[in-house]
Amino acid sequence: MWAYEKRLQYPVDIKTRDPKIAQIIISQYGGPDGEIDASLRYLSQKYTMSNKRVAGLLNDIGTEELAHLEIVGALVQQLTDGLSIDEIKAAGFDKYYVDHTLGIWPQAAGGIFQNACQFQSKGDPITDLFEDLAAEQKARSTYDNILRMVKDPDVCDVIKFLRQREIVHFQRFGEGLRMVQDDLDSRNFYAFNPSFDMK
Amino acid sequence: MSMENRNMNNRNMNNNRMNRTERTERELMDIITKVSFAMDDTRLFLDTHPDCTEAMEYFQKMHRIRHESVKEYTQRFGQIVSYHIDGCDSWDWNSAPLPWHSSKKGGC
Repeated sequence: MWAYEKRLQYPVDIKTRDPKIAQIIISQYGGPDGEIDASLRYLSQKYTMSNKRVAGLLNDIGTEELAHLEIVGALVQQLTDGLSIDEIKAAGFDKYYVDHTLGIWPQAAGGIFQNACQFQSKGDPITDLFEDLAAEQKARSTYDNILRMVKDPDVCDVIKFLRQREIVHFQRFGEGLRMVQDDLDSRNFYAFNPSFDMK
Repeated sequence: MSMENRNMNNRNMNNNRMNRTERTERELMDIITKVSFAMDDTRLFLDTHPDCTEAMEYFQKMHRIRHESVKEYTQRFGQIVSYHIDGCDSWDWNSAPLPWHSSKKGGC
């Protein structure tokens, strides 16, 4: 189970609203490489992870991703707080506004809704860990793209923190993959699915 | 977190502990944020390096500072974990500023 702690993992305090930037950052809330998919991916994969320590790692990283989801949500909320109708129309925020007003909803920057088909839980430890490594790299690329477009130092600071965590998680998943492989026959890691065929 | 960052954090925390003048809510929350993050990062490291005694000692040191800071924060400014609510007469769990709001809206 989870116990909520009433604080952000990294503080968000935006002084200047910017609906254009909010519309690109929301991709990390519900987009294809966003934080909710990261969390659901790891928290779903943990059940069939063959190595107990790596299953625990998935649980811990999946938990941290929930904290990142909250940070991205706070960024979008603060960047859109108090918008007028004129500002909404001028920034092209009208298409989001008509369905959600200033509510936070998981979607990609292009408007596509969050969908569990954006990630996999394959029930095969090596397959799942390769997906996790790729996911961390894809999220890092998205944060790089965001950093190329954002000028506000208060926003950049938070995005840089989130980007850094993708790199740390990639490193840990790499170590997790090695731990899973250490349990297997090094002459053929892919002979079978260690979570299904070894029972 | 890099070793340099860790050393810097340690220094800041030691300074904070020496100046025992009353810390503001923001200063105390800043310590909780930093020390909790140090634990978040070290937790993942220990998940894949369970036999690293240096990391374990660092985790324990951060745990001690966090325990003190959260205790002081809770006593002076209110609960941040609902399990710490001790069943007093009034329910003030949701009366404090919300962490996801900006400071101009009364957030942390």
